[in-house]
Amino acid sequence: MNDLRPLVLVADDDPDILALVRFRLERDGYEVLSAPDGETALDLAMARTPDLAVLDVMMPRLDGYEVTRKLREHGPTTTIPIILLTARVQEPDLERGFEAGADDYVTKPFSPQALGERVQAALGL
Amino acid sequence: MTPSASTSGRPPRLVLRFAVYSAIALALAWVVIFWVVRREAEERAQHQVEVRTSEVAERVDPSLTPQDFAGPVTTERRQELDAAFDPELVGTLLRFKLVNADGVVTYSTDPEIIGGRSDSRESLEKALAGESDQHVTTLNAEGGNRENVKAVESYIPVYLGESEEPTGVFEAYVAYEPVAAEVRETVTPIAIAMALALVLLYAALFPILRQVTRALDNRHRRLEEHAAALSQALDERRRAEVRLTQAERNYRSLVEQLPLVMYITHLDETSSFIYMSPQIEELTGYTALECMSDPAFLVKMLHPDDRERTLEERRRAAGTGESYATKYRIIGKDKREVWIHDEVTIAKDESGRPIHAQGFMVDVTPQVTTRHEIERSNAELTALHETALALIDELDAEKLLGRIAGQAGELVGTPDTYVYLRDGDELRVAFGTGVFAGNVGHRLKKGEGLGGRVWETGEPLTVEDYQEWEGRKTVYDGMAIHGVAGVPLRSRTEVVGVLGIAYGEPGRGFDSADIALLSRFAHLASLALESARLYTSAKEELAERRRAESAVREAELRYRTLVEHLPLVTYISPVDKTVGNLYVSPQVEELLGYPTEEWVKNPNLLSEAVHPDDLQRVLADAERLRESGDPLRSEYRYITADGRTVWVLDETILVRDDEGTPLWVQGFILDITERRAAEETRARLAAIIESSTDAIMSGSLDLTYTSWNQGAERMFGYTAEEVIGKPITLLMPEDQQAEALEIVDQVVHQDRVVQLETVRHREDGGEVHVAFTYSPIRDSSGKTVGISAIGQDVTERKRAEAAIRESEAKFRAFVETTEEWVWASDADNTHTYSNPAVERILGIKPEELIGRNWLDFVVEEDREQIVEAIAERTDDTVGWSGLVMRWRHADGSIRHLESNAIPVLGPDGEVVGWQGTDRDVTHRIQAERDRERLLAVEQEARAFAEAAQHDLAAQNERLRELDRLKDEFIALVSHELRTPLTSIRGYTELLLDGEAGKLTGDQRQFLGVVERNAHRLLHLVGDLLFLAQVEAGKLVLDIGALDLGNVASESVETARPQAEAKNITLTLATGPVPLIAGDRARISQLLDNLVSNAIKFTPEGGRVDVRVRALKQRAVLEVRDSGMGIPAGEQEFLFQRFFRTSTATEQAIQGTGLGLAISKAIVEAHAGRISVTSEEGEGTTFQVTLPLHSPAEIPETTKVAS
Repeated sequence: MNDLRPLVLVADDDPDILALVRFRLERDGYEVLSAPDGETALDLAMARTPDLAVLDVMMPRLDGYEVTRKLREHGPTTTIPIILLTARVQEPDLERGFEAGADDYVTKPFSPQALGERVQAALGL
Repeated sequence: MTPSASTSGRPPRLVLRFAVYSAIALALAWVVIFWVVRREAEERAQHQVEVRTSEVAERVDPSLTPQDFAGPVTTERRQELDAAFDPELVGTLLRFKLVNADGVVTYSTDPEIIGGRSDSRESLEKALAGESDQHVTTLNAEGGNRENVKAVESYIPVYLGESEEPTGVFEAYVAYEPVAAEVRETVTPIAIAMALALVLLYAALFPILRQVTRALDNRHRRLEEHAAALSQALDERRRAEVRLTQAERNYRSLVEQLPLVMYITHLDETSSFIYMSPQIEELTGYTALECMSDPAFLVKMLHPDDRERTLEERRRAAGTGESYATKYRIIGKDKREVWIHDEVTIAKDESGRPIHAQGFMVDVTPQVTTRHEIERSNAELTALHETALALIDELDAEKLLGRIAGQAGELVGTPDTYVYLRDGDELRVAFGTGVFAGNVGHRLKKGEGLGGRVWETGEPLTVEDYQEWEGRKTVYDGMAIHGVAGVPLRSRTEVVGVLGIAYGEPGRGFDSADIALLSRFAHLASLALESARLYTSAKEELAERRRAESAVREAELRYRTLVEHLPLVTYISPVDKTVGNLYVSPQVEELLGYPTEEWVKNPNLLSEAVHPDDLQRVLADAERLRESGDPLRSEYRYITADGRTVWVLDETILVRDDEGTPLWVQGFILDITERRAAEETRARLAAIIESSTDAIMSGSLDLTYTSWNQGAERMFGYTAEEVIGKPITLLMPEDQQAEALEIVDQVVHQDRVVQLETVRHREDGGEVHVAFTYSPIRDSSGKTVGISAIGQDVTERKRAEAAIRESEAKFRAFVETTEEWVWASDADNTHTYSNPAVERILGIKPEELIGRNWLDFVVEEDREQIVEAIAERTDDTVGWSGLVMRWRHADGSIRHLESNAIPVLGPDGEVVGWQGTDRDVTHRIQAERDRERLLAVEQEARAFAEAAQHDLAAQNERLRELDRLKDEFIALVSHELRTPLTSIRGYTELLLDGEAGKLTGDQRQFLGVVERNAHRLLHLVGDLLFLAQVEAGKLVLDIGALDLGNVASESVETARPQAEAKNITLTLATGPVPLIAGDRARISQLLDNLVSNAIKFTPEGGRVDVRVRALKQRAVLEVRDSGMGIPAGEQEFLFQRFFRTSTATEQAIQGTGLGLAISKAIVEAHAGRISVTSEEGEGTTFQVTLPLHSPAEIPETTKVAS
């Protein structure tokens, strides 16, 4: 594939939010990989090496923190920007996210447009 | 290993051995050959002899007559016969002869042996039986003049006439040597050839043998070496065995020297002996070998009665392996019973399995038999004793015999017993039991049968088996008796009967112990018989006398009647003191309790009945009487059968016949107990009177003194001599004489005892106060004969009484006037004194109390307790103090009296009463009670309060728990709400951004409503979450330097559109306020809340003023509105979650009731305070104060968890 659009991995267990984010980001000109849970997200990341990952924290099987930690463990994903989506805005939760290796977070509910801006900023575009 | 010492003891080499064996074989071969030759030679010689003899016989036969065999032939006949034989033929024979059936040589070619006897009897008989016979012999065996020549002898039978039997025998000798030589000639070459062949064979085999032998030799040497080693080992073993054997021998000799029998048995059924020490022979007569050779020896040896038990014990021990000791009997070789004490141990191997039993036996026969003897003799003694007791009373001879015989039989163990008694010059069966029961009346003469012999010899006799006894009486044949024993019954020395017993079963005999026992019985029986005989004869004699002395008897009867009615006991005793009395009159029983018969029968009764203190004297008196014959009169005491002491007067005389020989002693005993008692009493009284400190005197009816004791002498100073006979007015003061005489008159005539305290004159003129007791003196008929007076000196007492009276009066005055109740009681709580105070205290008069139990006046339910308390104090004799008792006032009310008392002690220190004082403490008690009651009420209330508090705390705890659960729930729900809100807001935004195409005006307006409401919802969720965090103590502040005016300005600007929409004037006034330390977002939230609240609750056209200023060390923030105000009653709930004012609800102003709660939480998290002032219809002002900090204190960014 010679698609030059940045590849963004989005993972959320809520299909509506997943579709919302995907819609926004695709409109913003990204290629989007969407995953309904943490495990799929991890598999996709390993398979495709996205340029950036937007991960919901509260996901079944593997939560966002866990996926972040695994992405940071080895391979090309150790350096990609990771943005967490979270309904938890309390300090310990945020710290946990940064400790796992996330670069930024966006609290729910978020404005799709604002998310797009964060992604753009993280990619340094 | 080197074949060391074996050279000398080494066996010859095999080669050498082989050579020797070969040589022996050769020699044997030669011997065989020689034997074959010899045998062949003999056979041939015999054959030749037979042939030749037969020839000769055939030749001679016809010329022979029976006469030739009758006896030695005559010379003529011999010559005839010599001639008859073919000289040539005979010449080949050494000798020829005829022998008749008797073995006599009737004819021979050698005339010297005619008439001799044939030498071989055996061969001759064979020939006479019809068989010829040959054997090798020497010729000179039967004499003759021939030299000693080896020859073969042949015997041929001779049949003469038609006879079937041989008439005689031809006997011929043939020289042996020529025949043998002939044989040797033929056999010898063959033998030599055989020997040569053997030598050749040996030569051929020799090399092979040599090789074989060498190999064998080597092997032998090796074996030898092994053998040497083995032999060494064997030597050692042998030495060890020797040591063992030695050790065993030592032990064995030790064991066999012990004075007991050691043994080892298998653990089989019969306990067969493995080892038995030889001492067994001494014990049983069986040798140790006998014991060990029979496996069932122990079983056989055991006494049948002990066999099963003993074997069972052994079996049990073999099973359990435990050691034990036992006793049993064994039957020795001489049938003797031996008691064995056996200590058995079970030996075990290493694994603990029993392998055999070992033990030792000790002969305990003497101990056991001694014990049995003792048991038996105990039983015998008991029986003898019982019998003896029975015999004493038994005078009926028949019953007596029955008893004796029965008892004897029982002891010896047989029911068969009999008693013979002399009846004239015969013995008669007087009694029989068992098989002898039917024999009563049988008679025996002296020396006849068993009884007769016992009578004759006077010695006991036993017969082992009566059925076999030569002396048995045929009349008893057929009776089932076997062992019989008889012992003589004697009267003094004379045999008067026979006591016998028998065993019905054969085999039981009597031993010496049985006989001894029987003899003792016989002795008893003899005694009894003697008594019975005496009794009988006495009876007879009595009857005789009665007849003969009827007249005398009448007199005697009278006399006796007289005697037996005398108030005394008469008796006649024999001069011989060892015998009982001859007669004792029946009054003795009444006097001494022992019946007449006993006095007569028991010579010892006197010693038993006389008082021990008097016995020596009485016996000495009796002795003297018997010796001197002087009449005796003595007084002494008897102890009666029922234990009383009786004084008697005993007068005794010795009665003699005309010649002066003592006949008997007679006398009487008189009961003088009363006299003695009276004498003693009198003596005692006199002593008492004399020793009395009281004056005791008496006077006669004519009023003169008749007695005067020492007490009187001391009291009045007159001696008895001075007073006796003087009138009794001697001591009386003049003025009292009349009174005194009146008293005397009363005593004498009215028969009264009078007591009087009065004054008497002393001899020295002084006065003495005397307490007199006057009583009448009566004679035995009860008539008053005088007057007695006992006087006690009471002078001192009078004086003391006066003193006491005086002191009592003083005390009484004191006591009777005191406020306290003074009282006294005796030990039984009977009130004896009370002062008048009691009436004031209890409303009871003293006289109502006195004589009554004071406890009756105490509150009833307390009485028991008080009695106990007093009893305790009685023991201690310390009294009590401060003891509060509840009394019943006469008006029924209860009075508390505090009591103090001390015991009144008797002469021995015992408590005889109490005295004390009581005080009314009812008021004090009442006061104490009230205080206690109040205290109790207070305590109760306190306890109740504490309990309530405790409940409240628990309830609080529960509420807190519920609150926490609720907070958790809110946090969860808030989270769950955010996710759907994300979608709502996100998609709305997309639509509004035109991402889904261009929107119409209406669409945009409607989506705006959706977005607004989503926003509200989100806000609500945010508030809830915030509060939940606050409640959970999880609020985190992001503290930084904060310009409050700036924040206020932002909030006001944010709210302005809202205010303008309602046409509300919104102002902000900001003073100079330093930076504060705070979370910008939170403070901003606080201001937004307050400002939007103010706008919400302010009607259109009103105003909202926000003001920020510094006041002292505080920043003050005010939001004032001109709204509807808050009712005063609701202000205090304003900052509670979900609280909405009634106005808000009524006017349907939107809100969650969370804003102020959140505001308060934020303010407090910043260590500030929020307050509200409001007036309905006027407006409301919220004021927030926050602490100011110096700039240095404010951190750049600090996170503070509240």
